Amino acid sequence: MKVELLYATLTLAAGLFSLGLLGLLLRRNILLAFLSIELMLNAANLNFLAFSRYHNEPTGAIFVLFGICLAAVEAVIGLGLVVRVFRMHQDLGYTNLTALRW
Amino acid sequence: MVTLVALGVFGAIALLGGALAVILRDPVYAVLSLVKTMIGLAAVYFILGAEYIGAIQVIVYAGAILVTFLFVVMLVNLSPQDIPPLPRGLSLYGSVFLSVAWMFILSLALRSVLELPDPAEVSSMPTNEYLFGTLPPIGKALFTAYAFPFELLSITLIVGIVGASLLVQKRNEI
Amino acid sequence: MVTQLLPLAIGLPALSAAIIGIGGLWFAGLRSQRNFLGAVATAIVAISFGIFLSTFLSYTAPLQVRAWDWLAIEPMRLSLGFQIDTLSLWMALVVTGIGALIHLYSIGYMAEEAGSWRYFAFLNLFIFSMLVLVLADSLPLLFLGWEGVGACSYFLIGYWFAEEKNAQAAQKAFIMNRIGDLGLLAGMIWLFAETGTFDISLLRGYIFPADIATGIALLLFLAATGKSAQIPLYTWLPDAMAGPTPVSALIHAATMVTAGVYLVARMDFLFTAAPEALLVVSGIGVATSLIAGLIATRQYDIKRILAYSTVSQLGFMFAAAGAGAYITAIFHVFTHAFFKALLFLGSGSVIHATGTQDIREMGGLRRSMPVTGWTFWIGTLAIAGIPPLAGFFSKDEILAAVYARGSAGESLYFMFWGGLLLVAFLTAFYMGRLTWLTFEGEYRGQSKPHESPAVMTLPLAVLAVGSVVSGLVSVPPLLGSSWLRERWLIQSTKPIPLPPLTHDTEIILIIASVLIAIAGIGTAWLLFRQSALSADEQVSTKLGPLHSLLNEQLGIDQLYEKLFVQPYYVVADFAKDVWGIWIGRWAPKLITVALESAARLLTRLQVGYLPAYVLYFATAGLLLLIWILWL
Repeated sequence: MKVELLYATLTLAAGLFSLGLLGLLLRRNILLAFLSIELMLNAANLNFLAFSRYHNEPTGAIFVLFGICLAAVEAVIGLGLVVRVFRMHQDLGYTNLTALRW
Repeated sequence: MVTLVALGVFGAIALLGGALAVILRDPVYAVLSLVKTMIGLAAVYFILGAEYIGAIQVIVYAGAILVTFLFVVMLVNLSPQDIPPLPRGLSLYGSVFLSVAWMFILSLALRSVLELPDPAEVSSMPTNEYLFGTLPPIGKALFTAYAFPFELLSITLIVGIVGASLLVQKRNEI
Repeated sequence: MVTQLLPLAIGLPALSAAIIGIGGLWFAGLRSQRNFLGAVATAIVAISFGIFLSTFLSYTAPLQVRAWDWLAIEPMRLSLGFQIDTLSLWMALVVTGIGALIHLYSIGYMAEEAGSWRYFAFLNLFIFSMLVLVLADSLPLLFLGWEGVGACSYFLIGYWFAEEKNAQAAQKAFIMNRIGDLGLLAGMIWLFAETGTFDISLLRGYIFPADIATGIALLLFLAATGKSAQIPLYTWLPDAMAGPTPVSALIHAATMVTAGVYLVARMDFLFTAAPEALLVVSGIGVATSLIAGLIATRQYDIKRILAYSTVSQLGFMFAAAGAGAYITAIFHVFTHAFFKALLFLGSGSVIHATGTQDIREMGGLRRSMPVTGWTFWIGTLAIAGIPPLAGFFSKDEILAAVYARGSAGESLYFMFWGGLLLVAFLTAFYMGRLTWLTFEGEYRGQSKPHESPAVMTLPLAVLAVGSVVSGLVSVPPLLGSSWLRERWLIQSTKPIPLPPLTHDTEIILIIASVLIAIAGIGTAWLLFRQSALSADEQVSTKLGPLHSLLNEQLGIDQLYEKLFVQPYYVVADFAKDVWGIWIGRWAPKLITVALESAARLLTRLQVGYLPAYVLYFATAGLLLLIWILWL
C-alpha cells in the first residue's frame, strides 16, 4: 500500500516536472517561463514529501518547508528582475535579451 | 484504495492546472490555472498526511507567490496580444518529445533504480501513521536538529527582500 | 624513564637550530653574542649526548617509537618512527659525543666570525639531521635525514660563500651527493615494490632472491659512494675542505661521511644476501683507499691531505663491510671519528695560528703550540695503527676480517688484503710526512704562531684520550673478548660468519700490521727527520711526472669535466637551440590557435535565445540521467 502511494506520487511529480519543462521550452515570455519554473519546483517538493511519507522521516517534510521558503525568495527576486527587464525594453519577450551573446 | 483514488483525482486536477498554465495564452488565466495546481497539490499533501505543509502550500504558494505573479502581470500590463503564440512544427514536437522523455525517466527509471527498503520491513514499522503532518513534531525538528539551516533561511529571506527592493527601485539605475 | 627523554634528545638540536637561526636573522643584537650562541649550541648537543649516554647505560632491549603517521596512502603506510637499537644508539653516541666536542672547539675557532650564528644554527641542524638519519626506523625517514645532512653540508661548505671558489665547492658536493641520493631513492622504491614496506625491522624478516638483493644493494651502495666519498663520486670531499675546519672535522671526517658505512651496516641483511654486491663494495673500498692514499702522499694543503686520508679510511671501512664484517666497519667508524676529528681540529688549530694551509710554510710548530703538537702526534700514531692506540685495533680487525674472508675460499679477498696492507703503509707514511713537515724541524712561515685558547685545546685533549683508549672496546679475540662485537652490535647487525683464524695466523697478521705501520712511520722518519722540506722536494723531483700527476689528484676532476660536464653542456645547448625554438615557440602557438578555433566553434552554441539554453540543459540532463541510471 505504501509503495503504491509512493509510486503514484512520484509519477505525479514526474508529470508536473515535465509539464514545467515543456512550458519552459514553449513559452516565449519571461513571466510565463517563470510560472513553469514554479511548477518544476513544486514537483521537486512533492518528491521530497513522498519519500518523507514513505520512510516516516522528518527530513523530507522540513525540506519541503525550506523549499517553499526558497520559492518565495526566488519569486521575489525573479519578479524583480522581470519588472526591471520590462522597464528596460517595454517587452517581456526573449528577443531583446542578447547582451551576453557572442 | 480510497487514498489512491483520491490521490488520482487531485493529482489529475493539479496536472490539468499545470497543462493549462503552459497552454493558455492569456497570462491572467495561466496564473489562475497554476493556482488550481497549487490547491490540487495541497490536497495531495493532505492525502499523504502532511496537513501542515498542505496548509502552508495554500497560504504561501497560492496566497502569496501567485498573487505576486498576478500583481506583476497587472503592473507590466501584460495583455494576451503581447504573448507570442505557441510554436508549431519541429520545435513543438521536439519539446513535447523531450518532456515526455523526462517524464519517462523520472517516473519509471528512477523508481526501478531506487533502492527502496523491503516492503515487509516498512509495514512492520511500529506505526503506519505519518508522524510529521502536524505542527508539533515539525516544530520540534525545526528548532532542534534543523535550527541552523532554519536561521540561514531567515538570512536568505532578508537578502531576498533587500535584493528585490534594490532591483526594482527607480532611482540610480544599476 | 630515560626513553621518555629521547624525543628531547632528537628535537632539542632542531629547536636550538631554529631559535639561533631565526633569532640571528631578525635580531642583529643576538648575532654579536657569539660566545653565548656557541655555548647554547654546545650545551644543547651535550644534553643530547647525556640523554643518549644514559639510554646506553640502561639499555636492555631494542625499542621502536612511532611518533605519528606521515603518509597513509593504502597500501602504503608510512609512519614516522625512531628505532633505538644497539647500532643506532652507538652511532647516535658518536654523533652527539664528537659533535659536542667540535661545537665547543668552534666557539674558539669562530670567535672572530661575524656570521657565527649562521654557523651554529647549521651545525645544530646537522646534528639533528644526522640523528634522524641514524635513528630512523624506516627508509624514507632515513632518506630525510640523509638529505638533511647533505643540505647542512652544503650550507657549511659554502659558509664563506663570498668567495666563488667556496660556493662552487659547496655546489659540487651537493650535486655529487644528489647523484648518489638517486641510488638511495631508487633502491628504496625497489625495496618497497618487492616487499610492500619501508620499515627496516620488517624488511629484515624478508628473504630476498640473490639477483634482486644484488640490484638493490648496488643502488644503495651508489648512495653510500656519494655520501661517503668513494669511487666514482669521491671528488667532492677534498674540495669540501673549503668550509671552516671544525665543519670538516665533524661532517667531512667524523660523522656525515660515515653515513654510507652506516647504511651498509643497517641494511646488512640485504648485502649478506648479495655476495656479488659485497665483492663490489670491497673492491671499490680498496681501490678508493689505495688511490686516495697515493694522492695524499703528494699534497701540500694540510686539510687536503687529511681529506684524502678520510677518503682512504672510508675505503678501509667499506672493505670491511664488503667482507661481511659490518661490525668491524662500524668499529672503524668509531675509532676513526676520534682520531680524524682530532687531526682535523689540530689542523684547524694550526691554521688558526699560522693563517695558512700550506705545510711548506709550517714546520717546528710543536715548540710554539705544544698541546696541538702532542695531540696531533697522538692522532698520527693512532691513524697509522701503532699499538696500543685506537687505529691499531680497528685496522687489525679489518685486515683480519678481509684475510679470513680470503681464506674462506674467495681468493679475490687476498688481493684486497694485500691492497689494504699497502694502504696501511701509505697511511703511516703520509701522516708521518705531514706531521714532520708541520710540527718538526724549523719554522718556515712568516707569522708568529701561538697556542690556541683553552676552549680549543680542551676538545683536542679529550679527543686525544679517545684516540688512545677507544680501541679497547674491541680488542682482538687473542687478547681478550671483543665487547663491542659479542655484547653490543651483534644484536642488531649480523655479520657473515667467517672461518676462525688459527692463533698463529692471527699473531702473524697482528705482527704484519704493526710492522707495516712502523715501516710507514719509519720511512717518513728516515726521509724527513732532517731538513724535511728539502727532502720532500727531492722526492718530488725523483718522482717527476708521477709527482705532478698525484699532486694534480690524478686529473679526475678534469676527466669528469670532459666526460660529463661538457656533454651536458652540449645537450643543454641542443635543448636551448632546437628544443627551445621548435617546442618552446611553436608548440604553445599551436595549442593556442587550436583552442581558439575550438572556442570559436563552441560560441556558435551561444545563441542568446533562452529556450535554446533550456533545450541544451534539458537534453544534457536527460543524457546524464540515462548515463547514471543505465550505463
